[in-house]
Amino acid sequence: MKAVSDKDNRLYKWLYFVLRAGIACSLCFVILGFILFGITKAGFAKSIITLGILILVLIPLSSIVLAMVNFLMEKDKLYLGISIIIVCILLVSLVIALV
Amino acid sequence: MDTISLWSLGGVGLAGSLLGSMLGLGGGVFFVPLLTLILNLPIHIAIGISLVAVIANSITASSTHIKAGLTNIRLGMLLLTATTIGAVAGGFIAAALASPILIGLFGVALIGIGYSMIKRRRLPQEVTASRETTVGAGASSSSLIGSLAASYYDRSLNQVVTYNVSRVPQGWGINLLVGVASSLLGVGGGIMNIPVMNLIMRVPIRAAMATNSFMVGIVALAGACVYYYHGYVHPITAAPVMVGSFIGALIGAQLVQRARSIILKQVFAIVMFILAVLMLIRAFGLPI
Repeated sequence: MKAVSDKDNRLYKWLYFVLRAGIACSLCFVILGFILFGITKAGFAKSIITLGILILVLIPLSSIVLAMVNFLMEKDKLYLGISIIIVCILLVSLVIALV
Repeated sequence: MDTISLWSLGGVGLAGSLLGSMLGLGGGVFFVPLLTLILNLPIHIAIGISLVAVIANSITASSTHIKAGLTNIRLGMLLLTATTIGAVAGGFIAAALASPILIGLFGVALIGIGYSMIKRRRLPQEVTASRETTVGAGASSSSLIGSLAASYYDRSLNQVVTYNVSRVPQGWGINLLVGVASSLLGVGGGIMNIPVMNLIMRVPIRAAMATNSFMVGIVALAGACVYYYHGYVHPITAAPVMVGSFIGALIGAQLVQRARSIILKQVFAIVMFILAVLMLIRAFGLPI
């Protein structure tokens, strides 16, 4: 049964890949960090854990950027504009947080 | 990591996520009271941690829904323009509120959620099973925001369900408030957003749940940034909760089929009332 159009199907496949790969990558760093911290108690282990959390928070942003690129390729100006608004709100939030 | 046991943080993540997923919710509703009441973390830090764990939960759930083709990405993106703005505002409002007020607000919200769970006698799936087949014909979507019509294959009905989206401006407006509440309380917002999409915008429940899970991670990120700015998100403290939450979501997904009964929902509602009372006692500064 086919319910999603071919254009959207491409977006869905990429989104699935980014979400799954992202969460796996984030968990790997966090767990590796905890194992290293348990063994060595070294400060760099905490940095690895923080990197894992940073990857985690970048996944939702990546999914919106991915949708933005998809709408750009589809020449869907309306949803390209909507994607850009969301990316801007998230980037402003990240800048507020990190600067 | 030095003062609070790694395992207790991981345990809270696992328990909150497990309980939440058995109810078809994210874990946020349970993370905050467990972190506040059991681990005695300040409410603002508990919410910051909860938002990070909610991101992890949402990514796990939403990837499954996206693979199944249930998510309405365009609808989610459109609503996110409201929800993310609300989430940023909610983060700043929360930072300005004193801890007892925020704890009290959470207690009141828990009572509301518990009450809605008892009141809703029928499960969401049952409520909309009959509606899904008719939703495509009558409803209309505004031409201003393009076509939000979508379709998905429903396994239980063994057919492709096509639907339109109604009352988009109202849904958008309410999503501003959903964003504020999500950030203010450290929850995903599905408890509010799924009924809004389903009952007001006439989106079938499966599509509403899937679209909500896609939105939650992005809303939680916007809120978490504001909490981080105020120094309330400690990555090292959030990490074990996030790992526990991920494991809890995986186990919860397996249990959810067996667990969805009205009695169980009512038991959980009572648990929420107890947590609410404990939160309110804490808000008034009484020892518990």
